[in-house]
Amino acid sequence: MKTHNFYQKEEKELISINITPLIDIVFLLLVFFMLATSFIQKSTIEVNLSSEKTTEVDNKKNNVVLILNKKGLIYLNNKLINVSNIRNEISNIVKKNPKYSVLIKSHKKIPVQKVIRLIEEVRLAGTDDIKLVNLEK
Amino acid sequence: MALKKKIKQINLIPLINIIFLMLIFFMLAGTITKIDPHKINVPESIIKNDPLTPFLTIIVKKNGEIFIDSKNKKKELQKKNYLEILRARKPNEISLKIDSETPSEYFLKILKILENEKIKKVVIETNYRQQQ
Repeated sequence: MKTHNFYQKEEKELISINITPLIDIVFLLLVFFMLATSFIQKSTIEVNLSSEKTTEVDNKKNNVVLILNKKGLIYLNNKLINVSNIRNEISNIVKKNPKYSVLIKSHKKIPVQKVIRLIEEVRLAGTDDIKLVNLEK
Repeated sequence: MALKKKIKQINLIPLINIIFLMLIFFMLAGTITKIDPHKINVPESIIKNDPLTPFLTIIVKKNGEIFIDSKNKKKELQKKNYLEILRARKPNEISLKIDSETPSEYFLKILKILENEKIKKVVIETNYRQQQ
């Protein structure tokens, strides 16, 4: 008679889960996220739409005038200036006269990127009162 | 004598671990972006503001072509057309997606039109670039 022995070694079955489909899906997800994601940080700049007409803005005496000419040179109140110095210069002017507004005159062929840079420098100088007009020369 | 065959298996576990890590990284660090049919290279900015989801987007290409929303990709909207859309929708705020190389005359023209239409808020879409 055969008795059941608990201590008898049982044959062990190796159970293995097939992970290949899992790897396939993970690979697909990885490829999707690699292609579809972007690491560029989006931002925005708000532009003030003034109700004043260009001629009215021009005639105002309390304006800081920034000119961006055809060659990309920048003039602050008719003085040639480097883009990196704009912030300090305007900041000094605005601290003394907080009511001053900044008038940016850009040549019509100048790329938007350069105008945006000027707007940002003026904003960082501490004023939001910016008017944009075309340089007529 | 029969030769015992050794089954050589490549251990895939480290590979799977790395792939999982990469997947988690891309899922958390990146943002899924819409494919832009107009291929607008927006200007760079050094000020970081939160991007808005405005009611209406005006797209201005390098050559001055104007589109409203990205749905109208096939036809150029003439001034009259987009003015009609603006007047019909009456948005309070508008997002302006303009190519960085667009001549500023087009930019100012658009701003003038929006000003005349009494749009309260105009935001320009940019890519944030950290100042060096």
